[in-house]
Amino acid sequence: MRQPNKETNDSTQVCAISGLVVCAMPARMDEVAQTLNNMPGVEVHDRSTEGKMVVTVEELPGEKMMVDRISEISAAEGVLSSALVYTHQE
Amino acid sequence: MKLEQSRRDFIKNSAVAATAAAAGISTTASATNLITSSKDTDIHWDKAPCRFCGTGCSVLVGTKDNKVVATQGDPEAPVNRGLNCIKGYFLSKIMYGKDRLDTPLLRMKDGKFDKNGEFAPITWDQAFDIMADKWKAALKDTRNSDEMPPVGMFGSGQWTIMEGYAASKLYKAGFRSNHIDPNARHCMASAVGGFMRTFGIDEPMGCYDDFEHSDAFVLWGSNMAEMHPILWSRITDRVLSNDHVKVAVLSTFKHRSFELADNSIIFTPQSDLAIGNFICNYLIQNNAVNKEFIKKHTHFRLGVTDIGYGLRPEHPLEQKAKNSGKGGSKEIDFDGFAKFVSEYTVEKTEEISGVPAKNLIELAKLYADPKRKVMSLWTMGMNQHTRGVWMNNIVYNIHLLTGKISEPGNGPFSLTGQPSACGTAREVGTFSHRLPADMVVKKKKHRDYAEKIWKLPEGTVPGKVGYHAVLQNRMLKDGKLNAYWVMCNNNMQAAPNMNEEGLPGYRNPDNFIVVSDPYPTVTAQAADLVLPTAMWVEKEGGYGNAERRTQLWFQQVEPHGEARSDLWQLMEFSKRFKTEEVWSDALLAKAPQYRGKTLFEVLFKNGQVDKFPMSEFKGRMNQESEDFGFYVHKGLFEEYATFGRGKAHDLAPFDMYHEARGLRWPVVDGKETLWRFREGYDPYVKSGEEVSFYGKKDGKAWIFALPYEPPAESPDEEYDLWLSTGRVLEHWHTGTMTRRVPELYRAFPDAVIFMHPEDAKERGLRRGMEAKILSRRGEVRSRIETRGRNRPPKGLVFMPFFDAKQLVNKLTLDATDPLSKETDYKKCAVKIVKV
Amino acid sequence: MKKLITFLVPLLFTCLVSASETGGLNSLRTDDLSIQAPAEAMKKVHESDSLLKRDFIQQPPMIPHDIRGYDINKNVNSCLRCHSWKNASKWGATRISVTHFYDRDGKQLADVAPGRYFCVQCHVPQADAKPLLENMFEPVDSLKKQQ
Repeated sequence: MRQPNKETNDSTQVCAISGLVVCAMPARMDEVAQTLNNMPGVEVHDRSTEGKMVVTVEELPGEKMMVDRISEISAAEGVLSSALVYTHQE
Repeated sequence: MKLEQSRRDFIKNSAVAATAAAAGISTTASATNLITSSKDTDIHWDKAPCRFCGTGCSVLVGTKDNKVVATQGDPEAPVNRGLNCIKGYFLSKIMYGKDRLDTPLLRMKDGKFDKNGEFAPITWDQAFDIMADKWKAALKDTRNSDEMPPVGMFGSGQWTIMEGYAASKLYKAGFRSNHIDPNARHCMASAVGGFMRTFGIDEPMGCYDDFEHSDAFVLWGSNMAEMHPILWSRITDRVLSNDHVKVAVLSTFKHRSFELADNSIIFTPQSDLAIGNFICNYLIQNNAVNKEFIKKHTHFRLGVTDIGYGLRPEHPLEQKAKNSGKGGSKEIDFDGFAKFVSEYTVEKTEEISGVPAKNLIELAKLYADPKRKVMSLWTMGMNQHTRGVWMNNIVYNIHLLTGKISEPGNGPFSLTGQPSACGTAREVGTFSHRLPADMVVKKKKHRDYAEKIWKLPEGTVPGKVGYHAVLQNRMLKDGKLNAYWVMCNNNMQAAPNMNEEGLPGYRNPDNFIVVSDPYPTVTAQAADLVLPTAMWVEKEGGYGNAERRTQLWFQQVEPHGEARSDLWQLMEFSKRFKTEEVWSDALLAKAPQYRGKTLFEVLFKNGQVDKFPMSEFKGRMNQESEDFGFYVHKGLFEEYATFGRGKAHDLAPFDMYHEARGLRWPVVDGKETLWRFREGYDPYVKSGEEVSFYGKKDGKAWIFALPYEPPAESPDEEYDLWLSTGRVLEHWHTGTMTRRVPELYRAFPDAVIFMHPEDAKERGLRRGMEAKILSRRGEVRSRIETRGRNRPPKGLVFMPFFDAKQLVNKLTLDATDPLSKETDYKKCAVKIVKV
Repeated sequence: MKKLITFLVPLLFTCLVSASETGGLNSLRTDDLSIQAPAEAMKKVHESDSLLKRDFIQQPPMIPHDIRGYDINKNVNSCLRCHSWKNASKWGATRISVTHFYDRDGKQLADVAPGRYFCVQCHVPQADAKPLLENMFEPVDSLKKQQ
């Protein structure tokens, strides 16, 4: 039988990481990147001139914000679309 | 702490790399704050189609230091949008089984070739030396006669397009032998037969986009949940998101696809013929025929019957058949057709098939409802069938009678089992009767056309159909096929009736058998010479999937050891022959310029195949091209593509395929074709025609009146059970790749006999017990499984064929569809006893 | 003695035949092609409380328990009983990945995407069995350190 999960705040423990392709209006890329970088656990890594950005979202143990955070990203001002291409969980 | 931190960085870095790969952004310096620790984390990502089934998923292959280190579903691919099935996710491991062959192996005794010797390593040069000797000996006697030489080849729907094309050219034009056939013969020859007979042109009219448009899915003999999981997930998506969408599943036993079924139909083997005819009858009786459509776009034909079972001619069943092997038909009218199918009443069909009338009517209603778009799908259940071509024809009848064809969501869709069954076996025409672009060796006009493109003298390609797959094994046994090359398949484990035909044929002392494979297979064990072969992304290549989508990929890593691709092997071998050793004096007299030249020079250094220099190559590595000094893959592809361009088989320019995630032919003016034969979708249908089945001269498809006829072998008192064989999700075909991946092996370790618990009990057996399964041809020992994914009805057992230790093909009968020559692996009689 | 002979004779026969029939080459089968060896014992499903190791991070997790009797059909999905977001922490089960909430067109859904409904297309249990052969696939360094 499985044991219930222990809640932990050990920040070094990996929990979940997602990678998204976010398409923003090219003119508003800087602004969008800043908004995204200000969200907890979100990082913008790279971008192309046509407005595509490579974004990661990290979730720490005990948190359950991944889905909400991704929704928040797609709803952000200047974002045209977001596509989740990658997740890892452990 | 440090360790975890670095792991997290690594994962994040991989997330960035994978995401960037998907977005088409190359990770630049701005991302390196992550990659602080190392160059270690630098993975090169590129696309390639999956190595397994006919679905044609695209994957991203991650390589590092000349090794594949990861694979993932390609999010940009329209087929699978980032998804893979369990096999696809483990593609990264298929090339790394510990026993990869790294050098040629020859059976030897005292340093010389001996048919009964032990395998010992030799060099490529030595391997080609002995092969050339054997081939030349076999070619000598027939060189100046009308007979084709006793040299043959058994190829594959897993060959790349370029490999299949080179093999076909080498055999049909080089050795002037049509005794070349692909293992696709075991797989979808009946589908080809059905297409050619009804439409006069091969391959589906629709495409995968139909999945998102259809209101009903009918599976006529396909367990898509296991065999085409990604397509099944698209159907599941459609069904679970839309309440009105229905699924009907027909099979001779219950399997995973039934989990989604609204109408579950278990029918007696072979009675699908009756069910199909019943539906036609129901449509006519209930006024559901699209009269305008059939008047404008169809003819009715009465097919020849009592056509035998493709067995050896001396077999009593062939002696008894009135029209053994005949495929003729004569014109009838609608009333004649209506009368023909009128005998398939619901009562009679219920009796033949064992399917309750209620289910039959419910099924017929899906097709009868004019507002419902229906997709019919099938694979081996319908193709591996002694009346497979007929059954394909009958399903087309249903779609033609209702006009539900060639438009989004409506259409019959024949799925394929191999990654390039369409692209290589069918389109390139590696069958013993075919040439590229649906042309056939029997027609002088077609041969002339091929010879012109190939710049060869008239009469080079023989006009006789060569030995097909099953016939090749018979001819090996009879000593009429002596130099034989098996490439890219494991036919000793796959071909039917191994004890009586396959094994005696390979071990016949008159024959020299060469097997090219990445791994030592059962077929390799029975061979005389084994050649180590480069696989998948160890070479550049192209595949064509079930929806006419052609996909190309670049070589990603160097081949293992001394392994070389099939393409390299074929082309290098062609250097060993001078034209005067293979061609007749008469033929050479017509083309004196080729005297003294090698087949390599005539076939591959012909100014076309060698037209593109290496400067046109845009990938990272290309073993064959570097070796031969020109861009081999582009040259072969472009020469091949000239066959189909302007003939409704148009392929795009080569380089386009390295950019796109595949394109569906005909590609005209850079635009792919999603639905063929319908105006507005297909550029070959002229304005005002609406629908044109242009494979036939007058643009009209043929509706065939064909009856139910019994199978070749049915259970009797002694052999009292039906045996059906097939695949499982986790293993692909004979398991030579998937069983070497530990995770896939553990997911389904050994073959079992799926059996009804009462049938087991009657024989004193329980789940897990060992049993012997016997047919008139051989026996196998296995274990009983009465639970799990397959639930046969009483009287039928199912066994997968992936397990080399349980060679199910010792049991199967080599009966084929007499028209398509495809083996019926789904029906023979067996008994099961306790060990 | 008689027993010994009945044991030795077929063995001797095997050795004699194998030289010619398979030329000493082993495939995933070590017996001669014409011989019918006893069937392997049916293997048990591996059960464990911890996740099975993954060699590359794109690899779908394996199922570390038996799933016999689990139904996944139009009416019920036994896997989601523990692995859905709602129930996972209660059972200490792995939550299904967020990718599973996206449909083909990249649209985020409120629940698991229907296309992902049949879990066993990608996630499979593992038998308690030694691999037939070693696989020489090597994960990247940072994953190797983990093991």
